[in-house]
Amino acid sequence: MKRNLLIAGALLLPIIIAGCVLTTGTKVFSIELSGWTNIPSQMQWRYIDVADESSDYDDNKDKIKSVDEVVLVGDIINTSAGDAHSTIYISDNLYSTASQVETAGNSTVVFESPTITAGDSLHINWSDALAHIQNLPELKNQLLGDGQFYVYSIQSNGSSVRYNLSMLITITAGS
Amino acid sequence: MKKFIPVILVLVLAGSAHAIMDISAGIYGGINAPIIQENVKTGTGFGFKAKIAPIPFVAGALFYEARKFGDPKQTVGGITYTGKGGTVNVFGLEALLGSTGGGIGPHFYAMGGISSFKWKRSNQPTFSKTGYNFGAGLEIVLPVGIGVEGQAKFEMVPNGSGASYKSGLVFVGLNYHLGLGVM
Repeated sequence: MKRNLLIAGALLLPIIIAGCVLTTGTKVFSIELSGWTNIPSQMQWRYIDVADESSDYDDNKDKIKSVDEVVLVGDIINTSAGDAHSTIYISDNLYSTASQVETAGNSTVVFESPTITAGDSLHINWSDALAHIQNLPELKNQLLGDGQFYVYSIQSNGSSVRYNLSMLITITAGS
Repeated sequence: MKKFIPVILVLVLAGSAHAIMDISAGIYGGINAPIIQENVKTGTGFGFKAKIAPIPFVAGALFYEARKFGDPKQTVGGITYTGKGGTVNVFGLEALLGSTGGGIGPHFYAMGGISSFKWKRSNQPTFSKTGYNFGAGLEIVLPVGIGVEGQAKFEMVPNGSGASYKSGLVFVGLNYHLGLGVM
C-alpha cells in the first residue's frame, strides 16, 4: 500500500511542479460584424462591446488566461465598377473621417485585404484568416482589456464594398 | 532539458544496482483527443519508443510521437468556417512503474513522463512547451518476444499564461523484446 502511494505521488509530481491549473479550457466564440454605419468617403465604422455581443465572453471575461487567436472570417464583396482594397482598423476613440482614423497613433491596422476585382468577393475561411490579420497583439489586448472598441473599415478611393464578416475569438479561461 | 535530468538520474541509478531485465522497442498508433479545447478536434497519431527495464518493477522509455489534431468548425450566421488543427511532435521520456520486466504474459503498469511538445499550425508561430503526462498501460508479451500493448494517457501542456492544453491519448502497438526477464 505504501509503495502504491509512493508510485502515485511520483506520477503526479510533474503536474504539481508545473503549477498548472487543471480547470482551464479553450473556448471559441464569434461576433457577427453586421450593422456598420456608413460615412461618405469610403469609410464605415462599428462599435463593439464584446461582453454585450457574446455571452460566452461575458461569462468568462474575469477568468481569461490568454487570448489565443482573433481572426475575421466571411466575405468582402466589391460592389463597385473598379478594383477595391479594404483596410480595417481598431481604436478606443470615435472618429468621423478616414484621415483621422489613418493618422498615426489614432488607430491600429488589424486587417488588410488583397485587391478585390470589380464585382468579385473575397471569402475568408478560418483556416486562412490569420494570414490577413495584422498587429495581432493589439487586437488581443483589446479583448484582455475592457473589450470595448471601435472598428473602422476604409476602402480604396472610388470603391465601395459590402462586408459580411464575423470575428472568431479563441480564449483560454479558467480558475 | 534540465527537466529531464532527474528522470535520467533515476534510470541510471536504478540500472547500476541490478542487471538489465528487459529491453524492447516498439511502434504504436491511436487517438489524440483534446479535452475542453474547442479550437481543435480529435485527431490521430503514431509513435516509436524504446524501453529499458533495469529491474522488474521500474522501466524508462524514450519516445517520439507524430500526431495531428482534427480541424475545428464554427458556425456563424448559418455559415460554417473550418480552421486548422495542426500537427504535434512530441519527444520525451517516461518512467513506468508496475510490472515492467517483460516476461511472457500480461503486464500492467502506471507511467508518468515529461516531453518536448511542439504544435505547428499554418500562419501561426510554433507553440513549443514542456508537456507532462501520466497514465496506465497493459502489455501482453507472447512467447515469441512480441508484446501487444495498449496505453491510455492524460497529457497536459502549460501554455505559459497559467492555463494548459490537455489531451487524452489512447494508443495500441507492438513491441519487440530483446531480452525477456521475469514476470
